[in-house]
Amino acid sequence: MQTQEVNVISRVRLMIGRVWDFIIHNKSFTFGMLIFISILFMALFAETLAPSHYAERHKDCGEDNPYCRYDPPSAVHPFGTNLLGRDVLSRIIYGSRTTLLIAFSGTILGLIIGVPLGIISGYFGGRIDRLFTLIADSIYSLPSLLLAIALAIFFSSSGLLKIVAPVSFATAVVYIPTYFRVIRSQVLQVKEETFVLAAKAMGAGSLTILLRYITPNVISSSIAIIPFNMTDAILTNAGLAFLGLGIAPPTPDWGYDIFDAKDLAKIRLYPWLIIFPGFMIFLLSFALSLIGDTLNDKFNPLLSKKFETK
Amino acid sequence: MTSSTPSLVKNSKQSDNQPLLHVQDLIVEYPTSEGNLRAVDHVSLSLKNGEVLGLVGESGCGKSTLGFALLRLLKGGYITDGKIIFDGKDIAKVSDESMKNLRGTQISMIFQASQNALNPLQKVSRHFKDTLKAHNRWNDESWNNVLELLNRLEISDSRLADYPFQFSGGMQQRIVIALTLMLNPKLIVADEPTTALDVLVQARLLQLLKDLIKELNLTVIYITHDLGVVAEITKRVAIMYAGEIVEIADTVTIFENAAHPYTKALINAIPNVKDTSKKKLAFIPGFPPDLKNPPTGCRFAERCPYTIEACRKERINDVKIPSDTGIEHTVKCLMNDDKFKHQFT
Repeated sequence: MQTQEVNVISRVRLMIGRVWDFIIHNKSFTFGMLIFISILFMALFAETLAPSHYAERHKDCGEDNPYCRYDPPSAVHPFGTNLLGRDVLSRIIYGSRTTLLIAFSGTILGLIIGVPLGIISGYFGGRIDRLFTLIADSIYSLPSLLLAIALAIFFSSSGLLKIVAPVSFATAVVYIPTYFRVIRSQVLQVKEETFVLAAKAMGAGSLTILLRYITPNVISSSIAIIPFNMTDAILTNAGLAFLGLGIAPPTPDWGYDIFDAKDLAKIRLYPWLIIFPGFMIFLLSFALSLIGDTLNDKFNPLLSKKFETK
Repeated sequence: MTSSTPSLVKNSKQSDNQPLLHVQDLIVEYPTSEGNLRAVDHVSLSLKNGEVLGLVGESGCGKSTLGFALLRLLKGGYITDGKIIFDGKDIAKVSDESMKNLRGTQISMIFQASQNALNPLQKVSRHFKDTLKAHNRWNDESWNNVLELLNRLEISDSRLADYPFQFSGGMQQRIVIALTLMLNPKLIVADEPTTALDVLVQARLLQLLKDLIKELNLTVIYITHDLGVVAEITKRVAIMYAGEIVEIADTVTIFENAAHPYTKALINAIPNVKDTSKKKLAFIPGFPPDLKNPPTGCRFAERCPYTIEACRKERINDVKIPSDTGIEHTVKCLMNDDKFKHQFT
């Protein structure tokens, strides 16, 4: 019994040591992860963290401002208020939900469509492969933001899932070809491996080979794309919102808040309206880029900068 | 070491003379941009139950292609003609589905690079379980048989929860052999299973294979370019050159009484440590012919020191040479043909 306890303790120590080693050697990843987790935390506990509800119209910001219009940052409203007297800080905290929801849903949608298509296309080859590759290449050849705009207009005008869905769909469609390509090229490599042939020689069927031998060996290469996909989803959402194609008010959204404050006169007079949401968009994409770079180094070591110098 | 393991299912010794495998005029072609490449050209051979046949030749002679063709696992190649009669059925013609069911249970293959023959992301036990499940044989009894087989191959059960990369090359190869043998296939195609291993591990593995062949009465086609391994393990040898079997005989005859100039040259190319004369290592000048456009006559004619005009004229037929071992000795060379014998000086 005692030896077993010692075993557990030493194992835990070993684990902590490994985690610490990882942190030391991947500072940018840890930093990015910290920011990302904080924003995630913010989104999860928005009700508790936000000083007020995002749609609440504040009153009594001094004698000359009874409806709190464009109240500059103060102790009560640290990030100021907007035209309707809504607290910018609260809108930012609640807005992280919308942003993350779009980032996650767009990414997951892209993953669950792109990855299976890539696996099927790469494994079976032939006509299916040619057709899928053709479609993926044609999507790839379009400017992604332009495509997202078109899709957002299409989805919202047809009344499908009004709020989050158009943007998610748009970013998913833009990213499906990326997952498809990466996975397909991996499958082309893995399916020629001896262990696949050996499995066939032992009488394994196509389904077993696909699920047990191909998929687990290729799936990791898609992980490195996820942070970049999320970054793109966030920026696309901001871009769409800025063009007035994004989330409809009063749903809090960083992109929409920037759109709302984009007049030159407003920027000069009420800079807090644009600085804080803008900074949040920057912060989140920056964090995701840091994470993505490290993951890319881990999963595609040949692309790593360390190899270039050697 | 050679303790008997009664519960390992031994293949029944068939007393009848019906061969287990009979390959008749098999042709395998790879389509290329410059036309079809005939990697295996009119190959015929027979294998009785419990026999171990060595298939020897240099790289690119079609020996591996022949092995893969027997399992219908050709990459980019096709069986364009000929028969593969296995256990009374022509498996060159059966459906893909029934071929799939034959693999593993009737015919199995051991691959060259064993470290690549195991799925790196699956635990070793998973490989065995999945194979049993795939063939609907998942029960306690067959699992015990697997454990016993692994034991026989000196892999302990406690290691089964490990991943392939945690094993040494020799152990991986033994795991692969266990996987190959677990469903008691009637025929095993071993494609250079020891090539990637160092000499000591190779020797140990060969001894183990030899014991298993004897114990389980295995029928094996052993593909290799290593004549030393052939001498160690096989009873009969087929020599392949440029897609054809040029000579087939019992192992002793091949080493001591080879009839084909190519076989002789191969034997001469084995370095001899005892040889004290400062003779350079023998080699065969020239290159094998282009298989997309092979010569009409003997394929070895360009490199053979004895070539006469008749050699290049037409297809060389197999000639039977009388042997006192009871095992047929066939050779594709005019030097042994009574009609042409006198023309060689």
